[in-house]
Amino acid sequence: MKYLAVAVGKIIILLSRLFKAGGGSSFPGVVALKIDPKLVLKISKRLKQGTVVITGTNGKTTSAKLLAEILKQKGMKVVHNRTGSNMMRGVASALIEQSTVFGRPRGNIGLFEIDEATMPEALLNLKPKVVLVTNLFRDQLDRYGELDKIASIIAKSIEPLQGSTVILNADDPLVASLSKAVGKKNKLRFFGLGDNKYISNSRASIDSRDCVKCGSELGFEKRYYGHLGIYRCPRCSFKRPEVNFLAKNVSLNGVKSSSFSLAGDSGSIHILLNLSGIYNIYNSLAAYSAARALGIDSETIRSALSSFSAAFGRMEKVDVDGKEVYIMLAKNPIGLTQIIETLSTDKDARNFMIILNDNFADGTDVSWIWDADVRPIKGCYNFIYTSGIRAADMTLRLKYEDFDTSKIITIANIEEAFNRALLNTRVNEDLYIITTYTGMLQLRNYLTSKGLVKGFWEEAA
Amino acid sequence: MKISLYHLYPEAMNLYGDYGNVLSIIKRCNWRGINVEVVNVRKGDDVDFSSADLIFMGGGQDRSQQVIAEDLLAKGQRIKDAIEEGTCALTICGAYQLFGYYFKTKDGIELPGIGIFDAYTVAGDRRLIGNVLIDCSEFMPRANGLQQSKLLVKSNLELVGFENHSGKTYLGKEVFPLGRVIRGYGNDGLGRWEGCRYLNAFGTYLHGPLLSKNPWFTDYLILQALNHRYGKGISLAELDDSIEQSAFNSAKKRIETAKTTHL
Repeated sequence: MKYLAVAVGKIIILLSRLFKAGGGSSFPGVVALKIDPKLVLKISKRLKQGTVVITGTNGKTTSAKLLAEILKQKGMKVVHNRTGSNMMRGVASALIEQSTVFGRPRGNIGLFEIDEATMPEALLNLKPKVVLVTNLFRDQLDRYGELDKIASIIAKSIEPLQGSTVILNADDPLVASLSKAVGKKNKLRFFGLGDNKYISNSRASIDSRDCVKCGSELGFEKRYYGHLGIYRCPRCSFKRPEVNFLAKNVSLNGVKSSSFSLAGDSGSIHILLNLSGIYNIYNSLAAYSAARALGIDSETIRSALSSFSAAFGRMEKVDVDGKEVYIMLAKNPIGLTQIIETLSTDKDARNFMIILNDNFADGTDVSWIWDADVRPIKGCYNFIYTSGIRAADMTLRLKYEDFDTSKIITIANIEEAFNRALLNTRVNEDLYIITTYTGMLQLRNYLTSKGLVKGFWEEAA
Repeated sequence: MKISLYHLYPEAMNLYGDYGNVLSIIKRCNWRGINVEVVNVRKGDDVDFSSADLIFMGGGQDRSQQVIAEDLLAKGQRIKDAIEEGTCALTICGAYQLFGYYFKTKDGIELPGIGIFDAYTVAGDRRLIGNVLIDCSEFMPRANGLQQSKLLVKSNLELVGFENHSGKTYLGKEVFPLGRVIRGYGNDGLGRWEGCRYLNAFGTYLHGPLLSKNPWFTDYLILQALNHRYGKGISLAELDDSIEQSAFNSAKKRIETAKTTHL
């Protein structure tokens, strides 16, 4: 049977849901790829409008979801590995799930977020029309290794491309330096931020500080966060490239919304977004750039971005007993720093829970929390519940910034900590939960069992 | 009272939450009313280490390590003189390797270190990653005021941390190990010894950060630094370490359930 791999994969997906074994987001792909290693290549080439690949340390999921919203508003049917499973097995699972038993995709465009280390295999099989790199920050070093290595893996994966559009974040020196790997038969586009209002003073997460060409320390005219900004090498010609797509006039309204304008090859549009934080301005900019590369008109982009609701665990809102609970995923230093900085700008954000797990998917090394800047919320909280396998490490982190530990409660059990935190949140107040990946899955499973959120495999396509 | 902490290459050599080590020293001093003067030492700085009570240097990515290696060699003799004269030092991961004689790459090239530790490192094929538990009771020097402080004696002199290295470090006769590996790979992947000590200078692969979860060791370094500045007979006030203890316990519990396949 030609599509045995697809059929077997589909049966596994069905069984795992029947027995509530989870979303079945990668195991079907593992088995299917064993049966047919060329499965991804075979199905994806039947996607008539081609595929888009998004990689980088942070912002993959939100950028992809923003872009999916734009594509859908344009009437396209998107095949998307939406559950955050971003290695080959996750891509295979998504393709199996979203195609017929004969391997015919039920969509016309593919949109895949891809783990940095999976890029070579992914690009070889997906042959994408558009490749987008969001940013490169230090992630969990136990799994990914050092930043320079990640950059060279991505560079190698881009080199063989022909006829693609490669879109890079100009404000990230290491990402911008990937332009040298883009061959002549491709288009190269840059996006970046032009703003004077939100300049960072934090020294946290400046992970790329030296010139990739000559090793001198880069000079920053402005820094928006970490090492993202307007930079120039004092010695050689390396500098932040001219951008094709620009965000400006940014205004962040607390933690829940923002406004800004996007300018590119088709004039300028004004966006009202139901997300906040400079990192989400970058995510919007990334989605906008990719949409323009696919030829989508500005009005569709504006309308889609303005009606967007948060991605899985990325400032996702859940209503419980008249209280609003927000869930935010933080998996590396810059992610945690950015979330905390954004929370600190909103006077309504005073009730917190932070979940720190150290399972494989979280990174088994929890030392990364010491590279994040947690100080902005110091003195701005009613309580902080710390939870998860390494809850005590998080409490310790806060103690060493002189947080008032009498208002920090350590409860390793996530369900118990959540219930206590919710109880201590008054009606009409919000509870903000920051969590690592497996902590988010555990919390969501619990909320699903209480009927408060849908299982992530049930999310509407 | 005050101590002087010389932080070598704070930007370039800062991996795995290394700054947390510096923060642990600063806070545990400040909570006792001891001031910490932090001197950041960067590439090209002309520094006299004779007034340093404590020197700290963290790990770095390969590229950062190449950037500072030559500069460190230029400073090597002055750092060595300070350590011979009693200055305390803590070096983590890449810094630990650079404080040894050399690092031998896969191509057989010997990249020189500053030779404070009688140790050398050879590039390995596999990354040694995971939680570590070591026992330091055999090697911590007893005469250096360790028993003077109640809070040091009550601890059983174990350290928890997280290792992530491919280099394998071998110790010579002039140094002691920091501890015996109970769980983890240790210096050379064989699960025998971890880290090293020469006088009051320590090298280790443990981050986490090491000093945040192992307050007895932090206090030991602080005590040595105070002794260096003021002479013997200083004692440290006791602090409430219950949160540190919980973090230590949760790390230790994680280690006891982990599997390590030694080289």
